[in-house]
Amino acid sequence: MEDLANILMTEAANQGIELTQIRMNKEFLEEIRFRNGNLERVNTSILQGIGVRVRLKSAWGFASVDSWEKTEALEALRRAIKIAKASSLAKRKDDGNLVEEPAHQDTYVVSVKENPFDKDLEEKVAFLKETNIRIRDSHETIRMYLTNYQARKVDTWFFSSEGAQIHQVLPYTGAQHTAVAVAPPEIQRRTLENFQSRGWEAIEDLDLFSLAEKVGKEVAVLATQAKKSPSGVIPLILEPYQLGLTIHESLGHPTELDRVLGYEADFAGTSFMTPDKLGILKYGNERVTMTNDPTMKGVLAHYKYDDEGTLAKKFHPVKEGIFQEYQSDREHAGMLERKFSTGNSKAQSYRFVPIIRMANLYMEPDPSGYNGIEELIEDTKYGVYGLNWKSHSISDKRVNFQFATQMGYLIENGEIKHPIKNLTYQGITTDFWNSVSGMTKQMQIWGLPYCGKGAPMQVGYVSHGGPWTRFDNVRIGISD
Amino acid sequence: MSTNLEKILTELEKRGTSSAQIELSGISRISTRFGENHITQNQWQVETQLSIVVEIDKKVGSISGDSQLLKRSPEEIAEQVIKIARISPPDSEFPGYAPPSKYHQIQRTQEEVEPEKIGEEIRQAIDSALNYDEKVEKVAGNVFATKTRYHLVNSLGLDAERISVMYASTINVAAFDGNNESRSTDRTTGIKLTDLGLANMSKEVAQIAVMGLHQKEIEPGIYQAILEPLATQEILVFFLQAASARIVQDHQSFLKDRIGEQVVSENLTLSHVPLDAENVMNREFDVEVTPTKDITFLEDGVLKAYAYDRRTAKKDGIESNGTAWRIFGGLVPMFVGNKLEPGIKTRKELISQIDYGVLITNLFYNNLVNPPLGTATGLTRDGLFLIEKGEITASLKNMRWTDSILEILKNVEVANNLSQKARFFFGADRTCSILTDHFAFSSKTGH
Repeated sequence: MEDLANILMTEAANQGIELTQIRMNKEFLEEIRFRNGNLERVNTSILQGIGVRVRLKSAWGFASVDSWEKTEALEALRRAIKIAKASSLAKRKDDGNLVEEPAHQDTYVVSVKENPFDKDLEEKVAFLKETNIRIRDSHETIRMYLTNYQARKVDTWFFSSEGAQIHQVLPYTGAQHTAVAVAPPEIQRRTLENFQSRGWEAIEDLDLFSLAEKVGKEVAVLATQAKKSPSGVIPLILEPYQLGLTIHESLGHPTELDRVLGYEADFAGTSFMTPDKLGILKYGNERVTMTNDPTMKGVLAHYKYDDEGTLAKKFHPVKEGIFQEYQSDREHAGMLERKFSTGNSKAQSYRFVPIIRMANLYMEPDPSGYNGIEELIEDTKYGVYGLNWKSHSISDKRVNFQFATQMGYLIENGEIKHPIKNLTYQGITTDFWNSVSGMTKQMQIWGLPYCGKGAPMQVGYVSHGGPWTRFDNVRIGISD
Repeated sequence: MSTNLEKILTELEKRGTSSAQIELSGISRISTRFGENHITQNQWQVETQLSIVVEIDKKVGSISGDSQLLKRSPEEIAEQVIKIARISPPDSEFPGYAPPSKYHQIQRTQEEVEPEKIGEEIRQAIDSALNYDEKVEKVAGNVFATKTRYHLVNSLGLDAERISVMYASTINVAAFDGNNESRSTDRTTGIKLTDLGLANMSKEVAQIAVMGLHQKEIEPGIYQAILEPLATQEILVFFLQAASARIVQDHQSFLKDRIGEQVVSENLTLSHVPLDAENVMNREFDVEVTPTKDITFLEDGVLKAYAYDRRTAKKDGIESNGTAWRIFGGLVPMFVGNKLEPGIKTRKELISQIDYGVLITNLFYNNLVNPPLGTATGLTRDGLFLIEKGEITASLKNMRWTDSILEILKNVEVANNLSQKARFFFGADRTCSILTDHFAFSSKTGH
């Protein structure tokens, strides 16, 4: 690998390229999917290739090819240089500098207790089938039941003409159960899942049999017992998964610096968290501290170096309610004259150019907060409790949002009164985060391998969560 | 058949598989993005995707990968995929593969351009917007040039190949006047780079962005609305998803059990037109190599058909209608590349019919809130205008909408301005402006 990278970097230097970054990936993926007890997909795949990124007079070029052969890699370099020259036909007026980053030389391997690829495939298939059938058996109203399992291992070698040489090995393992219950005229759907930077032990901890029963029984409750959600401006409690998604959409995306500076306007949109608000905006009340920490081990968005070779950092985009920091890469940090990149530059694979991606982003729990969700509910006179994502929509500046949760409960006089269905909540981002009125001491982090960003779209692996949290004065219920 | 694929297929047959299929696609894609009036990202991806599926007595397994997999020996590939199939429980819903068929011939233009040409077109598009009005300050967008070679062979003797080239672009323009910002967006697609008409499109988007300055506020409520072609497409996409047999069979469709019913306005006729050369998504067979055909699946508001691939068709005891698509790695039946039958009236005439309502150029971040009911929510995206007494009188701040898709499409008139629009995520359709009597705004967005 090193020899090939050196050949490419020497050739690029000979052609006047100022900066060359070489990323080589080898990725193994295993997927098993059961639908209604039937094996719908068992697939293994391997991806291996090289991405070459060059910078020529502040214009970028990137090319990829699914090969590590010298001839094909040199052809990718030729295309990258050609593309950089095309970029210079409409390039930045100034020659903005990238922020400095030490040229790291390191190997980082996330070790797993049990390698999912070493486990017998037949056993895995049989096990997943049984768990899938357990969903069906958990209630008579279940008409569709789906089980997805995925294990991925990614080896990445990163070299740069600045002297970086990094090898990272990152595992990803997880599973998902979905059930649809039909009790005419009611149809409801429930999904529970988790994905982590771990091995087969992530599947064991997820306890897919218990999870199957939970999915099945809860979706049946939704279809047969749940009452209509109340509407009005009332308190809302969110569990860590749904809290995480709300953080993802209303804080994660608007603090991506490329988006803030107008470079995602063609697709994802822009942001209300403009540079004039940095250090000033009261994003939330003093209870709200948000942390971005890809160095946390075990969570899906764990890594030591990003795809520009920048060391991952723990930082607070929001601290005690005040907007403190953007997520950045080296170029956009330079544009805003930040001192360093936060290490959020990630690509889906060697095929894609790295872009700013949120990583492991969560809300800090309150050490003096409630001792569990039960205590939080006990201290809530009236409100609703929402669990897990059903749908969402948010404006392109990330100001106005609407979420729907799969599951809900009505709370009256400190007790769960009954389950509710089709719970929705709407808000204005800063109003919402300024209405936090309580949270637990405990927190959870959930992994979601689904975040779409960029054009062409790249899928990012993120993890989010925090404590069970109560918000006051939230607009609940807008539709059936 | 290429030698490699032939050798793999021969090896699989030699080892006693009941049936086998190999899918090979090669993609070369230049993706150029721009923002703040300059090119920001430029990628040239060259990749191969290989997928091999084998069946042994209804036990099915598959492997996939890039060209590294193709470089392995046929024996090694066969051994691995057969091992997976053998340990799999029988797939009782396995539909088998498509047999060889006769396909319609489509005359397809295949124009490839150099990245410098794309860079030059983008520079002209940026200048075109900036020169339109001094209030125009920022131009963003993207241009994709994608060449796909698709080849599928199977043990039934099928050997089909298709090469296609497609261009797509989005342009977003921001205008400023003091503290006031207004943005507008449009998307287009074509078979040639020049089909995109980037400089003209950029100027038109700039015009709407400037028109959009000095927004007023309106209150939430139900409005008569003109949806411009891009906004119409965003609403129709929900209808098209609901018409997928996969969604219907999963009990997640608001069109379940409604074939033959009048589900929307009698003024709406929607056709899937894969054999129409003017459709950028034209194709003679789908990704399962089932021959495609033109299908009017919504006629005068009456639902006539769902989109079926081989698996969903088998479940319903019918045949695939050639609408299988690979989206995000999965196989889904979906009507893509559709044509909304245009009406007689001009867009201007439809606007003149509104006493008090809105004109919506684009919708954003739209999602179903309740799939079986068809309730959805989303936002207007820069380019919302007030219509009073048949005239556009003011620009408006963005609004959140929450409404039933069927309610929006219940009382509709269609304009005659048919135009091809790239979808936000995947595919393209030809749509028109429509007038609807029911478009429910549920809240203000604050910008």
